[in-house]
Amino acid sequence: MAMTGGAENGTAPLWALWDRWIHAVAAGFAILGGLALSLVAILTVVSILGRAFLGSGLGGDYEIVEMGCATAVFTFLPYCYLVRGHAQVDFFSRWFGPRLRLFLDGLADFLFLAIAVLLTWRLSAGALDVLQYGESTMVLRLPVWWGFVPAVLACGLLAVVCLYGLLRRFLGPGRDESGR
Amino acid sequence: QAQDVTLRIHHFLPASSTVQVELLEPWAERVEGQSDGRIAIEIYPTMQLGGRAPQLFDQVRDGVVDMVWTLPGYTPGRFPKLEVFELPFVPGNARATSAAAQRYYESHARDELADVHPILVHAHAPGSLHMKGKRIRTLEDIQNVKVRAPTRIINDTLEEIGASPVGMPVPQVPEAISKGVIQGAALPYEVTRSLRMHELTDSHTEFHGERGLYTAVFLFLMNKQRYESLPQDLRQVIDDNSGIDLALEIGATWDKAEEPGREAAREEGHAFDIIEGKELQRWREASQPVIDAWIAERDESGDDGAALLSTARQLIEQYSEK
Amino acid sequence: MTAFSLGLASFPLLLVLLALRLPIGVAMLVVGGGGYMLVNGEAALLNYLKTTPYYLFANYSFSVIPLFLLMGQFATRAGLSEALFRAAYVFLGHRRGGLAIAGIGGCAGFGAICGSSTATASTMGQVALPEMRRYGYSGALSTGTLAAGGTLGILIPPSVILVIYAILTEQNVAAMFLAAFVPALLAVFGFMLAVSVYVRLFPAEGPSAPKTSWRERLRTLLSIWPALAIFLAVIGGIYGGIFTPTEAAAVGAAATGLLALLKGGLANGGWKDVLLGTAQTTAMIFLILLGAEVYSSFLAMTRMPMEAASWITAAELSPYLVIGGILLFYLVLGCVMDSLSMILLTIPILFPIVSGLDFGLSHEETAIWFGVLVVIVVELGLITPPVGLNVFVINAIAKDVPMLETFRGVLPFLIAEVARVALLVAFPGIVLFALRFA
Ligand code: NA
Ligand code: NA
Repeated sequence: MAMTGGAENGTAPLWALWDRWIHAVAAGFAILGGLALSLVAILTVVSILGRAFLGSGLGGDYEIVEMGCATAVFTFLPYCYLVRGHAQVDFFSRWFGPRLRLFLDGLADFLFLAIAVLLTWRLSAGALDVLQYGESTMVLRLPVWWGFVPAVLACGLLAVVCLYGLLRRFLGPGRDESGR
Repeated sequence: QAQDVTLRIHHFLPASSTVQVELLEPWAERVEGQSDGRIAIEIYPTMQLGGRAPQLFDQVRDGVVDMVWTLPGYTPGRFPKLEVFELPFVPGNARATSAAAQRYYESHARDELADVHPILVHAHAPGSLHMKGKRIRTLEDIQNVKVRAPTRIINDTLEEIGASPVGMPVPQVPEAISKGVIQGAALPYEVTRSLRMHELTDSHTEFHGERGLYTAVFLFLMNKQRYESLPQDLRQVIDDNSGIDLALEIGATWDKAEEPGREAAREEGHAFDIIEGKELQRWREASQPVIDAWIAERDESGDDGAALLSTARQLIEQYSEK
Repeated sequence: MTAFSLGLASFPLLLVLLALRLPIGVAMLVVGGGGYMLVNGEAALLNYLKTTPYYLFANYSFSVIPLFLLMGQFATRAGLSEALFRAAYVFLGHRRGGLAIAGIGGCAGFGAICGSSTATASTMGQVALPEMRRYGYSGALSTGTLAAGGTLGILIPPSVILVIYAILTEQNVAAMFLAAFVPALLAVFGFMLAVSVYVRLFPAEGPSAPKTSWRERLRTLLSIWPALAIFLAVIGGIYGGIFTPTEAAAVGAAATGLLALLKGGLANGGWKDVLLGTAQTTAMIFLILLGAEVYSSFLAMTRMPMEAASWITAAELSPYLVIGGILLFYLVLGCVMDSLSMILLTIPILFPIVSGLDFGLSHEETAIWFGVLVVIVVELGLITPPVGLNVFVINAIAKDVPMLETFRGVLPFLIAEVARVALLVAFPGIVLFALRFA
């Protein structure tokens, strides 16, 4: 990972501290999502066992699976950005100079930030919509806006992480390392 | 020549579905013809323009698409008054229920669709139970049987009469039946053939009498701003192809669309069980709490639930006679 | 610019943005979102984005993906790769090239409980590479074997790519898995054959290891029962009518999780690694899914895919010529792109074209057959130069082997795969007979 760059000037220890903080928050969020996903797996197994031995599973387990998985996926996004887990085509960039590469990576960071802000904004509007209409799931009658809350929070965190990544790339130490 | 307007219609069923072939395509053709080609219509099946089925209403309200065909049942709690036709043993045949639903919307439920421009409110023919390895002949037969329910009301109805309903998306139904996740499903015959239910099930339970077990209300809607932005003569073309006459015609089409599915099941040699007379009366009584709950809920939010129900019933009565 | 020409122009534009190293999901969102705005207006795009990301991720069909990924992570932690490789090793190790053949066998076994290619490659690589190197296997053969063997993670059900293809084309996931099964066995056979031929030509590169006693063999065989049981529960459960694919993935995740717990693989922060590993791959996939959702909605609106399909149909080209061209196109694209993005990017355009071709098969059969072919060809991209993800993964483990050596080692397996594709194109029955008798 490029973001744990070395100490090339006096500000490096501060950046290192920030790196640790941001990383811890994003990883913590992803772990919460991972626990939600594990819970979904366990509930599904319980439902199957109930269906097999007691003649009836958990009613509406589909709805829990959907909501739980959505929560997990959204909370995974900031962490994935931070560890550069997103797929990209690295093949052609080997012929680019370091300045062009820095520019392109900065552009990617900027677009990612723009998308994160857009998603946070739009999903908040969506959350208000489903809240206002009192939309709920069919069987369990879970309010749909519940599902939107972790989604909006995670996209907000993604925006923060993206902004940090962008600043870090241009202002932080060890910026040449960003061009893998 | 160049068209003045292009309208995109979005829906979630396949291009070969009854709704596209029998409603949307003929409708588009008529509107294009009557507008002398000034309106062009593009139909996008299977959610091609993105999103999932429950989002269709928002899409047309927000102008993401110009028109949609959708089910209010996909967003439970959002159209409580229109739900009256989905209550147990309220619906008649598709023609009568469709016409009644259209009239009821016009006189009693305009507020629920105030954000959009409705073209048509209609309903399918009363649904039947399609079972695998479990015949349903009496109320006792359905106790603790796992049945897939299409909407919240029928879900509550099945629960009330002692079955154990399972909520799941339509595309999952065939797989769930063949795997024994459910023992049957409540569906109209109109969709059973395309879902290949005749290959997966072995018996069918129908409800005879004047009123059917349940139906689902359908909405064919246009974006309001889009409609209002049309020149007067084009709006007239849309109006000429909206409302009660269309509801009567399309209702009759849906009644006819039952036959191929029933025929396919008959050809497979399936058993057909009919619930009627005294037994039917028992089912009606068993499901009455669902109706009472709906009335109470309406009363609570300031409507007169009993009056709405009796209006709906009268309208169905009225159109059943014609 | 008409909507149609916008649709046409968007594809090369997207490829350029990808070449500029934009994350694939971001590039699709930018091009798809921009195009959507041009065709349908800014307000429409903003409203479309209000609920679409949520409902896309809260989709029961897609839920199978993070659950399968979680299962693969747990399986890695449960020490199953070790047991599977040992089991193949004690039976095959004493033959010439036997360790490489055992590596393929181990990959096949692991592929049967893991839905991802790179996970299979890296897990088996950590176990099998040191053994092969210890017995004097050449760098080319040992790394090539495991890079290629890793693709079995996707080719053998369960498979994330097969799930995504099935969802995109509205096919039954269980049917898709069933159809992929015999072709997957053919792949295992082809890979083993490739090793045998290779060591016959270059005997020094794959010497034999000492023979194992039958007592040792039986003892080792017993140690793979958890893997076997989980595979039977998951795949058997799907086919046998006990649960849906999503439920199967949940069962698999719970079972492998329990196993990892019992084997101590979750101690010392192992559980965090599992969750974070799942998080990274899941987020990567779903960002691309979101990009593909927006991009394909825009494309549908331009009507470009439908019109392209009707042109091809009207041109009355030989269906085999068209499908050959498409597969070749994937092979070329696969040199620089990853399999998931290729499928999400191209299936909305190419599937309508293929659906319109007449191979004497039903619509469903054509869809499934084409899906199996596409998945094989895009998986080849993982081992073709210059960008081959599996090659990179294995090469990172084998630090003393030059990259070029690994690409050389992959060559025999590429030949085996091309032969397999040719066979499956010529005889669709190999893919479809399982469905016809199911
Ligand atoms: Na697999
Ligand atoms: Na490649």
